[in-house]
Amino acid sequence: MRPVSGLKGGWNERIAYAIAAVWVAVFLTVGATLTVGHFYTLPRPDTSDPAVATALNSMRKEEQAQSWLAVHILYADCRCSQRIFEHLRLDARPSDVVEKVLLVGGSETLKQQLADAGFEVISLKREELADRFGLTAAPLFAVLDPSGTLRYLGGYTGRKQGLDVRDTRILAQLRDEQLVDELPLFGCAVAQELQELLDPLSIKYEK
Amino acid sequence: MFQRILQAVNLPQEITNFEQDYLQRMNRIGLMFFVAHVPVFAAVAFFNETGVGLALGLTLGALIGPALAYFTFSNPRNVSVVHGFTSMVMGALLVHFGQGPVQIEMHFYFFVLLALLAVFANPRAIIVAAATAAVHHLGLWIWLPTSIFNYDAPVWVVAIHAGFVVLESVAACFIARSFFDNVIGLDKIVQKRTAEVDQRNRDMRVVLDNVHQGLLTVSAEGVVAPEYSARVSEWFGDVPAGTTLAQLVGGKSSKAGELFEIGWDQVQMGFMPPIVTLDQMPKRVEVDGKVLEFGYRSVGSDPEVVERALIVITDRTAELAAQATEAAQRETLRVFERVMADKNGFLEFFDEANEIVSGVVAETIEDTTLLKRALHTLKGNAAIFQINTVADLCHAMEDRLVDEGERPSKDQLALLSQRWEGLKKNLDTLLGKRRRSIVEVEDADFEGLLSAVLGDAKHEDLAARIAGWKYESATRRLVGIADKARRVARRLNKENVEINVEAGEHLLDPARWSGFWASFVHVIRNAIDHGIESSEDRIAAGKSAEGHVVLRSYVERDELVVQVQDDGRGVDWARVKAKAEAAGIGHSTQSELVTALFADGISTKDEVTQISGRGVGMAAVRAACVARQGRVEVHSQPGAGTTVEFRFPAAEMAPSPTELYNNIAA
Repeated sequence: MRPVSGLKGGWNERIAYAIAAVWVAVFLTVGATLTVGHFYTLPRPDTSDPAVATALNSMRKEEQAQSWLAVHILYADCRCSQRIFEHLRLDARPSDVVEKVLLVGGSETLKQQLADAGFEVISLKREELADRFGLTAAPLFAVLDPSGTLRYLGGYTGRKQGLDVRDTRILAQLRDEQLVDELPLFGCAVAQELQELLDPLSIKYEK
Repeated sequence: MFQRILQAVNLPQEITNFEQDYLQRMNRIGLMFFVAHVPVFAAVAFFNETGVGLALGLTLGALIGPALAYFTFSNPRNVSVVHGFTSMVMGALLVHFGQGPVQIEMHFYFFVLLALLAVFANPRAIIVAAATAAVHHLGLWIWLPTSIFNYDAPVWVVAIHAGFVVLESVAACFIARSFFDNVIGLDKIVQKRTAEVDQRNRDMRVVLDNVHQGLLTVSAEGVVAPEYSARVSEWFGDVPAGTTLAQLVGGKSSKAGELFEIGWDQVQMGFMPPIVTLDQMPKRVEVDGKVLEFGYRSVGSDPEVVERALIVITDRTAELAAQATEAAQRETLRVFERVMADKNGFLEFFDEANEIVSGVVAETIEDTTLLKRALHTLKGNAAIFQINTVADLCHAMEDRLVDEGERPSKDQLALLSQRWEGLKKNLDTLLGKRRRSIVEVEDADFEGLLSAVLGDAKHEDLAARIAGWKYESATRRLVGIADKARRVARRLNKENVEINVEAGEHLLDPARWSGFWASFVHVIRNAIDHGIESSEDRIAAGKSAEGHVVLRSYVERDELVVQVQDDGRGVDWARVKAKAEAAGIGHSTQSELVTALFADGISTKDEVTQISGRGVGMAAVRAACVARQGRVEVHSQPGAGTTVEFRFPAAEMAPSPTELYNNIAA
């Protein structure tokens, strides 16, 4: 394969350089956009924020008032959330902890699977997630003690797309009155505003 | 420092053909490498569920840049730079589509790509790639500051990350530049060196084309090297590859070529040191009328072996011609000196020699024995009068006659004729053409005659006085011969020879005796060359260091005796007997031995020199003696000396005035 000499030199080459310059700019932008999703630390409310605790506690039923409550905030379109789905479905769960799943999006099959796994699935739109709970990213793990105090609000893994999902461990430590540092939130933006900020070119998040 | 960095980063503007070809190939391979990412990224996206379609689309989009550059950019270095940017795009795509548990490990691909960029031998490609990553992160930081510096990646972690990238980039730039300088740039260095060598070759060519000598070198096998001076071509023509020195010379002279071949065989064999064998090589060759002199010099690290030889050929034609002219001029001067010292003696020699030369040149002397005698006599007498050009020519003709059995060649005869005519011309200029028709009278003789006329002397006495002007006394003749003999002794480096004359005033007719005197010189030469020993030998034999030769002439009863006596080693009669026996000549009695001594070809010397040794001189003098009704006697005692006597009838002396007058009137 040899370059076609007729295209070299003169105006052809100038045009080629111009196109190459545009191409460089485009891919710098594309690259940056893709990188954001990997580098950007997804926002989450502070654990001490009472509004989040109140919102989460509002999901308790009367009979669940004295139980530890674990809430899994998941986004069906997020790969990280999908890994958590699989984990929740397959992993042995503590029997005396009430576990609920706040699910944005997702199919009925998925909901059924979670229900079969013993989880109470609450479907909601992403706007509701943001409005009602003040949450804009997933997957997010929240733990409330029997007194309704929000004891944990953070990620599931120590590293991005890590295989070690620590939710049950975190739960056990909290129930054992140990101090647990909140893990960073690795996942996806759920709120539309956040999605638009992180993915202006709509490469990752479909509009 | 900054300048040095810039110099390291910026390649020289000129792109050599070698670099062009190399980068063409590398850029092509690079493009193919990127194309291969398409299926790979699609597979990665499939397994990581990150969107196969997106992977295909973005990867193909990433190929636009390098493909566009490869097919349209005329500068291959710029294509490499685009590849540098593309490599970072591919790295970014892999990190995105490969997100999963090993997403962090996917970042290692950036380091691999940075290292691979060194193959383009262009630091700019690496810098662009590193800058892309930097700009990428910087832009991201500007856009979303928390995306770079967050609680998961503290600043010092990012700094380490960046440090490794910078470190590898610098290392890769160094490797790329070194690769350029030492490999890609090697072509330029080679070109530069080649240009320098070419220039030197051109300069050397100018020297070779303008030097007046023929310069060439030959290998140990004698093959002429391709570079030689213009003179070699001028003299020998074009030299095809593989021509040997012998073939080169042989093309002009087959005989010379044979000699060169034999000589070089000796050089190659190496039995003797090069300094000896090269000295044995032919020194002179005649080519197309030019006399070329060959000089040889061994070239190489081992003085005992001829690895190569430098041949220097010098045209000596003009020089030799000048030398010949100078020699002729000196000879002419000597002739002048001889004429001034002994005009009659010289004229007598010249007239005698003129007859010989005429006979030789005209090839009228058919008998080879007579021809040998004539040449021998001419040679001896010419040598005595230091006309060496003629003497040398005669010697060469004698060699041809005796060694090859061939009469003198046309060239030799032409040279002899040319030289003799030149001498004649000079003599005519000096003395005039009527030189022999003048009678020179000494003042004393003139006064005596005048006194006699005025004193009323008898007519017979007056006639005798006048007639005597045409004669010469034996004393005078022998004194002249003695003088020549001393010159012969000097030529033979026999300074220990004393030559004396004991003669009366009896008169001899020069015209009648010229033939005898011309060949008489052979006896003198033999006495000096064969008879008188060296001082050391004489002392060892109990003799005086100085040898003696006496020339005598006296009248005994009715015979004129001309005698040459020496006190040398005497005749080696045993040797004469052996030579006579070998030649089939009688050798039983003393008389037969004396006869053999004077026979043609009999010489007691084994070596022929310019002076003697051919066994021709004695035969010539005996013939001249017999022609005047004379006879020869030889008395010799081994170790005591030899006396050679020529006895003539007294009538052979000067005729009476009446007879002289009758001869003139006739």
